[in-house]
Amino acid sequence: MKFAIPTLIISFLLDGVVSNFVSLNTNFFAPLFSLVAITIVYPYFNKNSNDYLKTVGVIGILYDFVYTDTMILNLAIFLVLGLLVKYFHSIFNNNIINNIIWLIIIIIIYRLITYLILVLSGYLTFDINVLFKSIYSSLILNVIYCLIVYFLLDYLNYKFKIKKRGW
Amino acid sequence: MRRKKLEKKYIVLIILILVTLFLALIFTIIKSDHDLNPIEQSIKDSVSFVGKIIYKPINFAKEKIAENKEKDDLYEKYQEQQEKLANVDNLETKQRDLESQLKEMKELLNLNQTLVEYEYLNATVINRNVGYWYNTLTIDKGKTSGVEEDMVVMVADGLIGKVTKVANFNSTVKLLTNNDTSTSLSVKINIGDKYVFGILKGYDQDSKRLIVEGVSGNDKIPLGSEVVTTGLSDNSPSGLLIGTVSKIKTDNFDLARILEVESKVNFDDINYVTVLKKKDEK
Repeated sequence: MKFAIPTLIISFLLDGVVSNFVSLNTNFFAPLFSLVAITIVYPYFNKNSNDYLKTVGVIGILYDFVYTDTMILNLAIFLVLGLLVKYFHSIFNNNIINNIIWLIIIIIIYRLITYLILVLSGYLTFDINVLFKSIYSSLILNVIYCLIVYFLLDYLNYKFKIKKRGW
Repeated sequence: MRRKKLEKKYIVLIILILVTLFLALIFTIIKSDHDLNPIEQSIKDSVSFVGKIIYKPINFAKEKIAENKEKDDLYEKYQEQQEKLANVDNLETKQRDLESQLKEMKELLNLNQTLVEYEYLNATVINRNVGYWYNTLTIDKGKTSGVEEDMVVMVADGLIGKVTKVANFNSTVKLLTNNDTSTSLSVKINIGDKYVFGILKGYDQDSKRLIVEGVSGNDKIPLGSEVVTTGLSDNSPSGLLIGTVSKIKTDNFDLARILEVESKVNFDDINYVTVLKKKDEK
């Protein structure tokens, strides 16, 4: 947990900072660093999934308050995604390839749920191309960030002799 | 066995009810323009403050790079400015004349306020559209600087949106390019010596143009006509440039005109904005 929470906090703040450097309707670089951190840090909570889910919930509600003004939408979605990450870790090995695959699945689910809720509530009109664009525009940057954070955490944990464990 | 089946049915039913309730709650939250409560405000303020601190040195470097790039075409810009400068004297005289006429008319009609007077408040963008779907910006000015909900926000090239949420030290600006089907803005189109009115309904992502519907009257609207705000809402001054008419089409029934409006604003890269508020007569 030594590096897990700082990673989540830094990723959360970077979501806001990096948004200033990418085009508003970017085709390839939409940041979702909080989700990347949620996907990667689970093993660093040392089998304590309650702590993990609580932290994910806090990040979700902060995301609501600070970035989207939606109150509980992201809290609920982040918790669902947190449970999904926990499930992935319970049946698959924790390695970089799996992490990238999980991240892609998480991004797809996140975009799909938010889009469907916004369409059902009448906020957006349904357009499948917009949904596809939202997904593929979020992949490149976040996969790169995933690689960086994964190896950085691995290095730091190796250096400080911290064990990471899957569930 | 039957009992187990029944229990399963109940569980499915309860899950369905919970999901429906959850969706209903979410819809209400998204649809309602609720004011930020003190907890939301303080969280938003403190996180934005930290974000601002992190962003400052990066922004400084970004500005320096942009400055260096600008220096490359300095001579062209200088020539452009020289041409503009030639007209400034004329415009200043004209403005002075119009201002004095306006003052006289206000005195004559005993008016306290006109739709064209407003105060400026400059702000820096601290994050852009992190939620992806909402097309919003967060700016570093809030209640303490006098920002209120529904105030219009501009950049040098024209109107970009309006303030939708206000915390103490930052505010959320909803851009004109947002796809929220419930937002609209009343506009007028300048055709020679008169105006026709319409409603700005949304933004076409493919053509990257704003859509104006409900156009009044049957007057011919030339392409290139300026579309400006009407000033008919509480916090929006009149005459703010939105864009120019670039295409005119009709709806599916061939009854009403739909205008495509091209904005000069580069919505993809907005760093500094100006919040406008109607001037109160002292």
